[in-house]
Amino acid sequence: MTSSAGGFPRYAEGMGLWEHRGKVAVVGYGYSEIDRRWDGVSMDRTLGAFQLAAMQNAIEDAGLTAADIDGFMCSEAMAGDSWAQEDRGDPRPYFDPPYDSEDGLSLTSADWLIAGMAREGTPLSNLQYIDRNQLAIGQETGKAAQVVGDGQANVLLMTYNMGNVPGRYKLEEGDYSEGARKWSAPWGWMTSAMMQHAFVFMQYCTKYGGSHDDLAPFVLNQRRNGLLTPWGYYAQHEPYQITLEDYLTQRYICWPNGLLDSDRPVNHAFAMIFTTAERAKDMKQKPIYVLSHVQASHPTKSTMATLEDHEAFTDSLARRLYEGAGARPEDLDIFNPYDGFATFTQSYLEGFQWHGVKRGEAFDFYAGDIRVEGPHPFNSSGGNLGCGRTRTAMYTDSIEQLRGTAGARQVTVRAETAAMGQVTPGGNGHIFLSVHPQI
Amino acid sequence: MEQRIPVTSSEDGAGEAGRRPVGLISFDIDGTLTTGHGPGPITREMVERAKEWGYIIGSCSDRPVGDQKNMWETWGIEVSFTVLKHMLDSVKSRFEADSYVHIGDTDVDYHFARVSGFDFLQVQTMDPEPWMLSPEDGQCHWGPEGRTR
Repeated sequence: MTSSAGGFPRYAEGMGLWEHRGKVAVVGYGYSEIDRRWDGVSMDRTLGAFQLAAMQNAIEDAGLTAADIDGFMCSEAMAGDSWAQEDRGDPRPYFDPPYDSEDGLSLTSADWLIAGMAREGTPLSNLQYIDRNQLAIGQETGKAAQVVGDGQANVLLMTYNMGNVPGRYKLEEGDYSEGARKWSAPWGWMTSAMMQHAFVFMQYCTKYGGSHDDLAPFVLNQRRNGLLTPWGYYAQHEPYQITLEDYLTQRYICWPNGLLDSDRPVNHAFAMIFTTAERAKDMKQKPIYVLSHVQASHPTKSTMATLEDHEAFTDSLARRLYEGAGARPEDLDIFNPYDGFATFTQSYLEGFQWHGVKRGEAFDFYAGDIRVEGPHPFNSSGGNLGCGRTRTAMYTDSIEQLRGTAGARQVTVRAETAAMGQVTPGGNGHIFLSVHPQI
Repeated sequence: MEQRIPVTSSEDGAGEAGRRPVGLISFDIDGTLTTGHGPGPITREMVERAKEWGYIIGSCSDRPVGDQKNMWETWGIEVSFTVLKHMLDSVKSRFEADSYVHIGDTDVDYHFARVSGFDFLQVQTMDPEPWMLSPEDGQCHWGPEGRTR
Protein backbone atom coordinates (compact mmCIF):
# COMPACT_ATOMS: atom_id res chain seq x y z
CA MET A 1 0.00 0.00 0.00
CA THR A 2 1.38 3.34 -0.97
CA SER A 3 1.43 6.51 1.08
CA SER A 4 2.80 9.00 -1.41
CA ALA A 5 0.72 11.72 -3.03
CA GLY A 6 2.00 13.10 -6.31
CA GLY A 7 0.71 16.64 -5.93
CA PHE A 8 1.65 16.96 -2.29
CA PRO A 9 3.00 19.08 -0.74
CA ARG A 10 1.99 22.24 -2.56
CA TYR A 11 4.77 24.63 -1.64
CA ALA A 12 5.48 26.50 -4.86
CA GLU A 13 4.29 29.89 -6.01
CA GLY A 14 2.39 30.18 -9.28
CA MET A 15 0.80 26.72 -9.31
CA GLY A 16 -2.50 28.12 -10.52
CA LEU A 17 -5.79 26.40 -9.85
CA TRP A 18 -5.58 23.18 -7.86
CA GLU A 19 -5.96 20.38 -10.39
CA HIS A 20 -8.67 18.69 -8.31
CA ARG A 21 -10.59 21.84 -7.40
CA GLY A 22 -14.18 20.91 -6.62
CA LYS A 23 -13.59 17.23 -7.38
CA VAL A 24 -12.98 16.19 -3.78
CA ALA A 25 -15.44 16.64 -0.93
CA VAL A 26 -15.65 16.35 2.82
CA VAL A 27 -18.64 14.17 3.63
CA GLY A 28 -18.24 13.34 7.29
CA TYR A 29 -16.52 14.29 10.49
CA GLY A 30 -16.45 13.06 14.03
CA TYR A 31 -14.83 13.85 17.32
CA SER A 32 -14.32 12.30 20.70
CA GLU A 33 -15.03 13.47 24.18
CA ILE A 34 -12.38 15.69 25.72
CA ASP A 35 -10.31 15.54 28.89
CA ARG A 36 -7.42 17.52 30.24
CA ARG A 37 -5.44 14.31 30.56
CA TRP A 38 -6.07 10.63 30.66
CA ASP A 39 -6.63 9.69 34.28
CA GLY A 40 -4.52 6.56 34.05
CA VAL A 41 -7.45 4.38 34.98
CA SER A 42 -10.39 4.76 32.60
CA MET A 43 -9.65 2.52 29.65
CA ASP A 44 -12.61 3.96 27.75
CA ARG A 45 -11.01 7.41 27.90
CA THR A 46 -7.51 6.74 26.62
CA LEU A 47 -6.21 8.64 23.63
CA GLY A 48 -6.68 5.49 21.55
CA ALA A 49 -10.23 4.92 22.75
CA PHE A 50 -11.06 8.54 21.98
CA GLN A 51 -9.62 8.23 18.51
CA LEU A 52 -11.56 5.08 17.69
CA ALA A 53 -14.71 6.85 18.82
CA ALA A 54 -13.93 9.86 16.60
CA MET A 55 -13.36 7.58 13.62
CA GLN A 56 -16.60 5.71 14.19
CA ASN A 57 -18.48 8.97 14.64
CA ALA A 58 -17.12 10.28 11.34
CA ILE A 59 -18.17 7.13 9.51
CA GLU A 60 -21.64 7.38 11.02
CA ASP A 61 -21.90 11.08 10.20
CA ALA A 62 -21.12 10.28 6.58
CA GLY A 63 -23.76 7.56 6.47
CA LEU A 64 -21.12 4.96 5.65
CA THR A 65 -19.94 1.69 7.11
CA ALA A 66 -16.35 0.88 7.98
CA ALA A 67 -16.26 -1.43 4.97
CA ASP A 68 -16.81 1.55 2.67
CA ILE A 69 -13.48 3.07 3.70
CA ASP A 70 -10.62 2.27 1.32
CA GLY A 71 -8.10 4.88 2.44
CA PHE A 72 -6.77 5.58 5.91
CA MET A 73 -4.53 8.38 7.10
CA CYS A 74 -3.30 9.19 10.58
CA SER A 75 -0.42 10.90 12.30
CA GLU A 76 1.69 8.68 14.50
CA ALA A 77 3.45 11.57 16.19
CA MET A 78 3.82 11.34 19.96
CA ALA A 79 1.14 13.37 21.64
CA GLY A 80 2.05 16.15 23.94
CA ASP A 81 5.67 15.34 24.36
CA SER A 82 8.28 14.16 21.94
CA TRP A 83 10.33 12.74 24.75
CA ALA A 84 9.55 9.07 25.25
CA GLN A 85 7.93 8.19 28.53
CA GLU A 86 10.76 5.84 29.40
CA ASP A 87 13.26 8.68 29.14
CA ARG A 88 11.58 10.49 31.99
CA GLY A 89 13.03 7.92 34.33
CA ASP A 90 9.56 7.11 35.51
CA PRO A 91 8.02 4.68 33.04
CA ARG A 92 4.35 4.26 33.49
CA PRO A 93 2.94 0.88 34.34
CA TYR A 94 1.43 -0.72 31.30
CA PHE A 95 -1.65 -2.83 31.04
CA ASP A 96 -3.08 -5.81 29.28
CA PRO A 97 -3.20 -5.58 25.47
CA PRO A 98 -3.96 -3.37 23.64
CA TYR A 99 -2.41 -1.04 26.20
CA ASP A 100 0.83 -2.93 26.76
CA SER A 101 2.94 -0.09 25.38
CA GLU A 102 2.69 3.65 24.72
CA ASP A 103 0.71 2.82 21.58
CA GLY A 104 -2.88 3.78 22.34
CA LEU A 105 -1.90 5.91 25.32
CA SER A 106 0.35 8.78 24.24
CA LEU A 107 0.44 7.98 20.53
CA THR A 108 -1.68 5.99 18.15
CA SER A 109 -0.11 4.08 15.32
CA ALA A 110 -2.01 3.17 12.18
CA ASP A 111 -1.69 -0.49 13.09
CA TRP A 112 -3.12 0.11 16.56
CA LEU A 113 -6.07 2.07 15.20
CA ILE A 114 -6.84 -0.40 12.44
CA ALA A 115 -6.66 -3.28 14.93
CA GLY A 116 -8.83 -1.30 17.31
CA MET A 117 -11.52 -0.83 14.71
CA ALA A 118 -11.53 -4.57 14.09
CA ARG A 119 -11.62 -5.26 17.82
CA GLU A 120 -14.67 -3.06 18.17
CA GLY A 121 -16.56 -4.79 15.40
CA THR A 122 -16.12 -2.05 12.82
CA PRO A 123 -13.20 -3.44 10.79
CA LEU A 124 -11.65 -1.32 8.06
CA SER A 125 -11.65 -4.38 5.90
CA ASN A 126 -11.21 -2.82 2.48
CA LEU A 127 -8.20 -0.55 2.89
CA GLN A 128 -6.17 -0.03 -0.27
CA TYR A 129 -4.24 3.01 0.92
CA ILE A 130 -2.68 3.49 4.36
CA ASP A 131 -0.74 6.60 5.29
CA ARG A 132 0.91 6.73 8.70
CA ASN A 133 2.58 10.10 8.24
CA GLN A 134 3.84 12.34 11.03
CA LEU A 135 2.10 15.44 9.77
CA ALA A 136 0.06 17.88 11.81
CA ILE A 137 -3.54 18.25 10.77
CA GLY A 138 -2.95 21.39 8.72
CA GLN A 139 -0.83 19.40 6.30
CA GLU A 140 -2.72 16.16 6.79
CA THR A 141 -6.04 17.49 5.48
CA GLY A 142 -4.35 18.76 2.34
CA LYS A 143 -2.68 15.44 1.75
CA ALA A 144 -5.97 13.60 2.31
CA ALA A 145 -7.66 15.75 -0.33
CA GLN A 146 -4.76 15.21 -2.71
CA VAL A 147 -4.83 11.43 -2.27
CA VAL A 148 -8.52 11.28 -3.13
CA GLY A 149 -8.07 13.70 -6.02
CA ASP A 150 -5.20 11.62 -7.38
CA GLY A 151 -7.41 8.53 -7.24
CA GLN A 152 -5.36 6.61 -4.69
CA ALA A 153 -8.38 6.26 -2.46
CA ASN A 154 -12.06 6.69 -3.10
CA VAL A 155 -13.27 7.12 0.48
CA LEU A 156 -10.52 8.19 2.83
CA LEU A 157 -10.78 8.32 6.61
CA MET A 158 -8.32 10.85 8.02
CA THR A 159 -7.80 11.09 11.76
CA TYR A 160 -5.77 13.21 14.12
CA ASN A 161 -5.32 13.46 17.85
CA MET A 162 -3.83 15.80 20.37
CA GLY A 163 -2.92 14.19 23.66
CA ASN A 164 -1.58 15.41 26.94
CA VAL A 165 0.64 13.37 29.16
CA PRO A 166 1.34 14.10 32.84
CA GLY A 167 3.86 16.77 33.68
CA ARG A 168 4.63 20.09 32.13
CA TYR A 169 3.94 20.27 28.43
CA LYS A 170 6.78 19.92 25.98
CA LEU A 171 9.37 21.31 28.33
CA GLU A 172 11.43 18.19 28.39
CA GLU A 173 14.04 18.10 25.73
CA GLY A 174 15.54 14.90 27.02
CA ASP A 175 19.04 14.78 28.37
CA TYR A 176 20.46 16.58 25.35
CA SER A 177 19.27 19.01 22.73
CA GLU A 178 20.50 17.35 19.60
CA GLY A 179 21.52 18.84 16.26
CA ALA A 180 20.19 22.28 15.44
CA ARG A 181 18.07 22.20 18.55
CA LYS A 182 21.15 22.80 20.65
CA TRP A 183 20.87 26.36 19.39
CA SER A 184 17.11 26.77 19.26
CA ALA A 185 15.88 24.77 22.21
CA PRO A 186 18.54 24.30 24.86
CA TRP A 187 15.99 24.97 27.59
CA GLY A 188 13.17 23.02 26.01
CA TRP A 189 10.50 23.37 23.41
CA MET A 190 9.21 26.66 24.72
CA THR A 191 12.37 28.42 23.63
CA SER A 192 11.72 27.64 20.03
CA ALA A 193 7.94 27.99 20.14
CA MET A 194 6.69 30.47 22.67
CA MET A 195 9.76 32.70 22.78
CA GLN A 196 9.84 32.78 19.01
CA HIS A 197 6.32 34.10 18.76
CA ALA A 198 6.74 36.49 21.65
CA PHE A 199 9.70 38.00 19.84
CA VAL A 200 7.85 38.41 16.55
CA PHE A 201 4.85 39.83 18.36
CA MET A 202 7.04 42.47 20.01
CA GLN A 203 8.35 43.38 16.59
CA TYR A 204 4.75 43.68 15.42
CA CYS A 205 3.85 46.07 18.24
CA THR A 206 6.94 48.12 17.58
CA LYS A 207 6.23 48.40 13.88
CA TYR A 208 2.50 49.02 13.99
CA GLY A 209 1.85 50.29 17.50
CA GLY A 210 -0.21 48.70 20.23
CA SER A 211 0.62 46.26 22.95
CA HIS A 212 -0.18 42.86 24.36
CA ASP A 213 -3.37 44.23 25.93
CA ASP A 214 -4.77 44.85 22.44
CA LEU A 215 -5.14 41.08 22.11
CA ALA A 216 -7.71 41.03 24.90
CA PRO A 217 -10.86 41.35 22.74
CA PHE A 218 -9.64 38.52 20.51
CA VAL A 219 -8.77 36.17 23.37
CA LEU A 220 -11.99 36.88 25.24
CA ASN A 221 -13.99 36.25 22.07
CA GLN A 222 -12.15 33.00 21.47
CA ARG A 223 -13.23 31.80 24.90
CA ARG A 224 -16.75 32.97 24.21
CA ASN A 225 -16.88 31.03 20.93
CA GLY A 226 -15.38 28.04 22.71
CA LEU A 227 -18.11 28.13 25.31
CA LEU A 228 -20.57 27.99 22.41
CA THR A 229 -18.89 24.79 21.20
CA PRO A 230 -20.61 22.10 23.25
CA TRP A 231 -17.86 19.49 23.03
CA GLY A 232 -14.99 21.92 23.77
CA TYR A 233 -12.80 21.67 26.84
CA TYR A 234 -14.02 24.84 28.49
CA ALA A 235 -17.67 24.19 27.69
CA GLN A 236 -17.31 20.74 29.20
CA HIS A 237 -15.02 21.32 32.16
CA GLU A 238 -14.64 25.01 33.02
CA PRO A 239 -17.74 26.71 31.69
CA TYR A 240 -17.11 30.30 32.59
CA GLN A 241 -16.20 33.33 30.54
CA ILE A 242 -12.89 35.01 31.30
CA THR A 243 -13.02 38.74 31.89
CA LEU A 244 -10.91 41.65 30.77
CA GLU A 245 -9.50 41.84 34.28
CA ASP A 246 -8.58 38.16 34.11
CA TYR A 247 -6.76 38.84 30.87
CA LEU A 248 -4.91 41.90 32.07
CA THR A 249 -3.76 40.24 35.30
CA GLN A 250 -2.79 36.91 33.79
CA ARG A 251 0.51 35.26 34.55
CA TYR A 252 3.10 35.70 31.85
CA ILE A 253 4.81 32.56 30.65
CA CYS A 254 7.25 34.23 28.30
CA TRP A 255 6.51 37.92 28.19
CA PRO A 256 4.46 39.15 26.45
CA ASN A 257 2.95 35.69 26.02
CA GLY A 258 0.64 34.98 28.93
CA LEU A 259 -1.20 31.99 30.24
CA LEU A 260 -4.45 33.04 28.55
CA ASP A 261 -2.63 33.62 25.28
CA SER A 262 -1.57 29.98 25.26
CA ASP A 263 -3.73 27.02 24.34
CA ARG A 264 -4.43 24.40 26.97
CA PRO A 265 -3.22 20.88 26.19
CA VAL A 266 -5.98 18.28 26.23
CA ASN A 267 -6.73 14.67 25.32
CA HIS A 268 -8.94 14.61 22.24
CA ALA A 269 -9.30 13.07 18.79
CA PHE A 270 -10.94 13.95 15.50
CA ALA A 271 -11.66 12.37 12.13
CA MET A 272 -12.80 13.50 8.69
CA ILE A 273 -13.93 11.63 5.62
CA PHE A 274 -12.93 12.72 2.11
CA THR A 275 -14.33 11.27 -1.08
CA THR A 276 -14.79 12.23 -4.68
CA ALA A 277 -17.32 14.89 -5.58
CA GLU A 278 -18.98 12.35 -7.81
CA ARG A 279 -19.58 9.91 -4.98
CA ALA A 280 -20.48 12.70 -2.56
CA LYS A 281 -23.48 13.72 -4.63
CA ASP A 282 -25.72 10.99 -3.28
CA MET A 283 -24.44 10.71 0.25
CA LYS A 284 -26.05 11.49 3.59
CA GLN A 285 -24.47 14.89 4.08
CA LYS A 286 -24.36 17.89 1.84
CA PRO A 287 -20.94 17.81 0.15
CA ILE A 288 -18.38 20.34 1.29
CA TYR A 289 -16.04 20.68 -1.67
CA VAL A 290 -12.30 21.10 -1.38
CA LEU A 291 -11.23 23.94 -3.65
CA SER A 292 -7.59 24.12 -2.72
CA HIS A 293 -4.88 23.19 -0.26
CA VAL A 294 -1.37 24.51 0.28
CA GLN A 295 1.51 23.89 2.62
CA ALA A 296 4.50 25.85 3.87
CA SER A 297 7.86 24.80 5.24
CA HIS A 298 10.24 27.70 5.53
CA PRO A 299 13.73 27.55 6.95
CA THR A 300 14.60 30.60 9.01
CA LYS A 301 17.73 32.65 8.70
CA SER A 302 18.67 32.31 12.33
CA THR A 303 17.50 30.64 15.53
CA MET A 304 14.32 32.66 15.25
CA ALA A 305 12.20 34.02 12.46
CA THR A 306 11.36 37.70 12.29
CA LEU A 307 8.19 39.66 11.70
CA GLU A 308 9.34 40.20 8.14
CA ASP A 309 9.62 36.43 7.68
CA HIS A 310 6.21 35.72 9.16
CA GLU A 311 4.55 38.33 7.01
CA ALA A 312 6.21 36.99 3.88
CA PHE A 313 5.31 33.40 4.82
CA THR A 314 1.65 34.15 5.45
CA ASP A 315 1.37 36.42 2.41
CA SER A 316 2.57 33.51 0.32
CA LEU A 317 0.29 31.04 2.06
CA ALA A 318 -2.77 33.16 1.43
CA ARG A 319 -1.82 34.04 -2.13
CA ARG A 320 -1.32 30.38 -3.04
CA LEU A 321 -4.46 29.15 -1.31
CA TYR A 322 -6.62 31.77 -3.00
CA GLU A 323 -4.97 31.08 -6.33
CA GLY A 324 -5.55 27.34 -6.04
CA ALA A 325 -9.21 27.90 -5.22
CA GLY A 326 -9.73 30.57 -7.85
CA ALA A 327 -10.85 32.85 -5.05
CA ARG A 328 -10.18 36.33 -3.73
CA PRO A 329 -10.17 37.56 -0.13
CA GLU A 330 -13.73 38.81 -0.47
CA ASP A 331 -14.84 35.28 -1.39
CA LEU A 332 -13.79 33.87 1.98
CA ASP A 333 -16.71 33.72 4.42
CA ILE A 334 -15.51 31.64 7.36
CA PHE A 335 -11.92 31.98 8.49
CA ASN A 336 -10.51 29.79 11.23
CA PRO A 337 -6.74 30.29 11.37
CA TYR A 338 -4.54 28.89 14.09
CA ASP A 339 -4.36 30.39 17.55
CA GLY A 340 -2.05 28.14 19.52
CA PHE A 341 -0.59 31.38 20.80
CA ALA A 342 -2.77 34.46 20.48
CA THR A 343 0.30 36.44 19.56
CA PHE A 344 0.57 35.10 16.01
CA THR A 345 -3.00 34.76 14.77
CA GLN A 346 -3.00 38.27 13.37
CA SER A 347 -0.35 37.24 10.86
CA TYR A 348 -2.96 35.02 9.17
CA LEU A 349 -5.79 37.51 9.50
CA GLU A 350 -3.74 40.18 7.78
CA GLY A 351 -2.07 37.83 5.29
CA PHE A 352 -5.41 36.54 4.08
CA GLN A 353 -6.83 40.09 4.18
CA TRP A 354 -10.01 38.64 5.61
CA HIS A 355 -12.73 41.27 5.70
CA GLY A 356 -10.25 43.74 4.26
CA VAL A 357 -7.82 43.66 7.17
CA LYS A 358 -4.38 44.77 6.04
CA ARG A 359 -0.99 44.58 7.74
CA GLY A 360 -0.97 46.37 11.05
CA GLU A 361 -4.76 46.58 11.32
CA ALA A 362 -5.52 43.52 13.44
CA PHE A 363 -5.78 45.32 16.78
CA ASP A 364 -8.34 47.77 15.40
CA PHE A 365 -10.23 44.84 13.90
CA TYR A 366 -10.20 42.95 17.20
CA ALA A 367 -11.60 46.02 18.94
CA GLY A 368 -14.64 45.94 16.64
CA ASP A 369 -17.46 43.40 16.56
CA ILE A 370 -15.92 39.98 15.99
CA ARG A 371 -18.70 38.02 17.71
CA VAL A 372 -20.35 35.24 15.74
CA GLU A 373 -23.55 37.27 15.70
CA GLY A 374 -21.77 40.27 14.25
CA PRO A 375 -20.52 41.35 10.85
CA HIS A 376 -16.95 40.03 11.32
CA PRO A 377 -17.21 36.60 13.00
CA PHE A 378 -13.50 35.94 13.13
CA ASN A 379 -12.42 32.46 14.14
CA SER A 380 -15.97 31.34 14.86
CA SER A 381 -14.64 28.02 16.14
CA GLY A 382 -13.09 29.53 19.24
CA GLY A 383 -9.96 27.73 18.09
CA ASN A 384 -7.54 26.19 20.53
CA LEU A 385 -7.89 29.05 22.97
CA GLY A 386 -11.62 28.48 23.24
CA CYS A 387 -11.83 24.69 22.95
CA GLY A 388 -8.49 23.41 24.18
CA ARG A 389 -5.45 22.39 22.20
CA THR A 390 -7.31 20.07 19.85
CA ARG A 391 -6.15 21.77 16.67
CA THR A 392 -9.41 20.53 15.18
CA ALA A 393 -12.10 22.95 16.36
CA MET A 394 -11.29 25.02 13.28
CA TYR A 395 -12.34 22.09 11.10
CA THR A 396 -15.48 21.06 12.96
CA ASP A 397 -16.66 24.65 13.05
CA SER A 398 -15.95 25.28 9.38
CA ILE A 399 -17.87 22.18 8.35
CA GLU A 400 -20.75 23.05 10.66
CA GLN A 401 -20.89 26.66 9.47
CA LEU A 402 -21.04 25.50 5.85
CA ARG A 403 -23.65 22.87 6.66
CA GLY A 404 -25.62 25.43 8.69
CA THR A 405 -25.45 23.27 11.80
CA ALA A 406 -23.21 25.40 14.03
CA GLY A 407 -26.03 26.09 16.48
CA ALA A 408 -25.33 29.02 18.77
CA ARG A 409 -22.14 29.71 16.83
CA GLN A 410 -23.85 29.90 13.44
CA VAL A 411 -22.76 33.11 11.84
CA THR A 412 -25.27 35.57 10.49
CA VAL A 413 -23.17 36.54 7.49
CA ARG A 414 -22.83 34.42 4.34
CA ALA A 415 -21.32 31.00 5.07
CA GLU A 416 -20.54 29.31 1.76
CA THR A 417 -16.76 29.12 1.89
CA ALA A 418 -14.23 28.50 4.64
CA ALA A 419 -10.47 28.40 5.11
CA MET A 420 -8.64 26.92 8.04
CA GLY A 421 -5.27 25.53 8.93
CA GLN A 422 -2.20 25.47 11.07
CA VAL A 423 0.34 25.44 12.57
CA THR A 424 2.83 28.33 12.57
CA PRO A 425 3.62 30.73 9.74
CA GLY A 426 6.84 28.85 9.04
CA GLY A 427 5.36 25.36 8.97
CA ASN A 428 1.81 25.21 7.82
CA GLY A 429 -1.05 23.69 5.86
CA HIS A 430 -4.34 25.34 4.92
CA ILE A 431 -7.37 24.07 3.07
CA PHE A 432 -10.17 25.95 1.31
CA LEU A 433 -13.69 24.51 1.48
CA SER A 434 -16.91 25.53 -0.23
CA VAL A 435 -20.51 24.44 -0.56
CA HIS A 436 -20.05 24.95 -4.31
CA PRO A 437 -17.57 23.04 -6.50
CA GLN A 438 -16.16 26.34 -7.64
CA ILE A 439 -16.40 30.00 -6.75
CA MET B 1 -1.82 50.41 50.35
CA GLU B 2 -3.77 47.49 51.71
CA GLN B 3 -3.63 47.17 55.48
CA ARG B 4 -2.04 44.05 56.86
CA ILE B 5 -4.51 41.91 58.75
CA PRO B 6 -3.09 40.98 62.16
CA VAL B 7 -3.22 37.65 63.86
CA THR B 8 -6.60 37.30 65.52
CA SER B 9 -6.56 33.77 66.80
CA SER B 10 -5.84 33.78 70.49
CA GLU B 11 -6.92 31.51 73.28
CA ASP B 12 -8.45 34.19 75.43
CA GLY B 13 -7.44 37.49 73.97
CA ALA B 14 -4.58 37.62 76.42
CA GLY B 15 -2.21 39.17 73.96
CA GLU B 16 1.01 38.16 72.24
CA ALA B 17 2.44 36.12 75.06
CA GLY B 18 -0.62 33.92 75.39
CA ARG B 19 -1.65 33.57 71.82
CA ARG B 20 -1.64 30.39 69.86
CA PRO B 21 0.61 30.37 66.78
CA VAL B 22 -1.35 30.98 63.63
CA GLY B 23 -0.51 29.40 60.30
CA LEU B 24 -1.56 30.39 56.83
CA ILE B 25 -2.15 27.75 54.20
CA SER B 26 -2.44 28.53 50.52
CA PHE B 27 -3.93 25.79 48.37
CA ASP B 28 -3.29 25.30 44.70
CA ILE B 29 -6.43 23.85 43.06
CA ASP B 30 -5.84 21.75 39.94
CA GLY B 31 -3.95 18.62 40.88
CA THR B 32 -4.09 19.56 44.56
CA LEU B 33 -7.71 19.71 45.71
CA THR B 34 -10.20 17.00 44.82
CA THR B 35 -12.24 19.61 42.99
CA GLY B 36 -9.37 20.31 40.57
CA HIS B 37 -8.87 19.32 36.94
CA GLY B 38 -7.45 16.80 37.40
CA PRO B 39 -8.50 16.00 40.88
CA GLY B 40 -5.90 16.21 43.60
CA PRO B 41 -5.79 14.32 46.90
CA ILE B 42 -6.78 17.04 49.39
CA THR B 43 -10.43 16.77 50.31
CA ARG B 44 -12.99 19.31 51.33
CA GLU B 45 -13.08 17.80 54.81
CA MET B 46 -9.34 18.36 55.26
CA VAL B 47 -9.58 21.99 54.20
CA GLU B 48 -12.57 22.57 56.44
CA ARG B 49 -10.70 21.03 59.36
CA ALA B 50 -7.68 23.27 58.74
CA LYS B 51 -9.96 26.26 58.97
CA GLU B 52 -11.61 24.96 62.13
CA TRP B 53 -8.19 24.56 63.67
CA GLY B 54 -7.55 28.25 63.12
CA TYR B 55 -5.47 28.31 59.97
CA ILE B 56 -5.92 31.22 57.63
CA ILE B 57 -6.78 29.50 54.38
CA GLY B 58 -7.30 30.42 50.75
CA SER B 59 -6.36 29.48 47.22
CA CYS B 60 -3.57 30.47 44.89
CA SER B 61 -4.09 29.14 41.40
CA ASP B 62 -3.77 29.93 37.72
CA ARG B 63 -7.54 29.78 37.58
CA PRO B 64 -9.17 33.19 37.29
CA VAL B 65 -10.09 34.65 40.66
CA GLY B 66 -13.79 34.53 39.84
CA ASP B 67 -13.59 30.80 39.22
CA GLN B 68 -11.67 30.25 42.45
CA LYS B 69 -14.39 32.09 44.35
CA ASN B 70 -17.05 30.01 42.66
CA MET B 71 -15.23 26.86 43.64
CA TRP B 72 -15.10 27.82 47.31
CA GLU B 73 -18.73 28.83 47.21
CA THR B 74 -19.60 25.44 45.78
CA TRP B 75 -17.65 23.80 48.58
CA GLY B 76 -19.37 26.03 51.12
CA ILE B 77 -16.14 27.22 52.69
CA GLU B 78 -15.45 30.87 53.31
CA VAL B 79 -11.79 31.59 52.66
CA SER B 80 -9.60 34.57 53.43
CA PHE B 81 -7.98 34.99 50.04
CA THR B 82 -8.17 33.93 46.40
CA VAL B 83 -5.21 35.02 44.31
CA LEU B 84 -3.54 34.23 41.02
CA LYS B 85 -0.47 32.07 41.29
CA HIS B 86 1.99 34.82 40.49
CA MET B 87 0.43 37.04 43.14
CA LEU B 88 1.09 34.80 46.13
CA ASP B 89 3.39 37.41 47.61
CA SER B 90 0.38 39.68 48.09
CA VAL B 91 -1.02 37.17 50.58
CA LYS B 92 2.02 37.44 52.76
CA SER B 93 1.81 41.20 52.75
CA ARG B 94 -1.90 41.10 53.64
CA PHE B 95 -1.90 38.54 56.43
CA GLU B 96 0.30 38.36 59.48
CA ALA B 97 0.96 34.78 60.50
CA ASP B 98 3.60 32.67 62.13
CA SER B 99 3.99 30.34 59.18
CA TYR B 100 3.17 30.51 55.52
CA VAL B 101 2.73 27.34 53.50
CA HIS B 102 1.71 26.82 49.89
CA ILE B 103 0.56 23.33 48.93
CA GLY B 104 0.67 22.47 45.26
CA ASP B 105 1.60 19.84 42.71
CA THR B 106 3.93 21.45 40.20
CA ASP B 107 7.29 23.13 39.99
CA VAL B 108 5.42 26.34 39.19
CA ASP B 109 3.86 26.09 42.66
CA TYR B 110 7.31 25.48 44.08
CA HIS B 111 8.72 28.49 42.25
CA PHE B 112 6.10 30.97 43.39
CA ALA B 113 6.12 29.63 46.94
CA ARG B 114 9.84 30.18 47.16
CA VAL B 115 9.90 33.64 45.64
CA SER B 116 6.98 34.67 47.85
CA GLY B 117 8.60 33.53 51.09
CA PHE B 118 6.32 30.54 51.61
CA ASP B 119 7.29 27.04 52.59
CA PHE B 120 6.27 24.60 49.90
CA LEU B 121 4.65 21.21 50.35
CA GLN B 122 4.35 19.06 47.27
CA VAL B 123 1.05 17.31 47.56
CA GLN B 124 2.23 14.10 45.94
CA THR B 125 5.03 13.53 48.42
CA MET B 126 4.27 15.50 51.59
CA ASP B 127 3.76 13.84 54.95
CA PRO B 128 0.20 14.36 56.14
CA GLU B 129 -0.25 17.42 58.30
CA PRO B 130 -2.17 16.95 61.57
CA TRP B 131 -5.23 18.73 60.16
CA MET B 132 -5.35 16.16 57.37
CA LEU B 133 -5.96 13.30 59.78
CA SER B 134 -9.44 12.04 60.38
CA PRO B 135 -10.67 12.62 63.95
CA GLU B 136 -12.39 9.25 63.76
CA ASP B 137 -9.44 6.99 63.09
CA GLY B 138 -6.44 9.29 63.04
CA GLN B 139 -5.68 8.31 59.45
CA CYS B 140 -5.17 10.48 56.41
CA HIS B 141 -7.86 9.72 53.83
CA TRP B 142 -6.68 11.20 50.56
CA GLY B 143 -9.25 11.90 47.85
CA PRO B 144 -10.48 9.06 45.62
CA GLU B 145 -7.89 9.71 42.92
CA GLY B 146 -5.06 9.29 45.43
CA ARG B 147 -1.66 10.94 44.99
CA THR B 148 -0.47 9.25 41.82
CA ARG B 149 -0.58 12.24 39.45
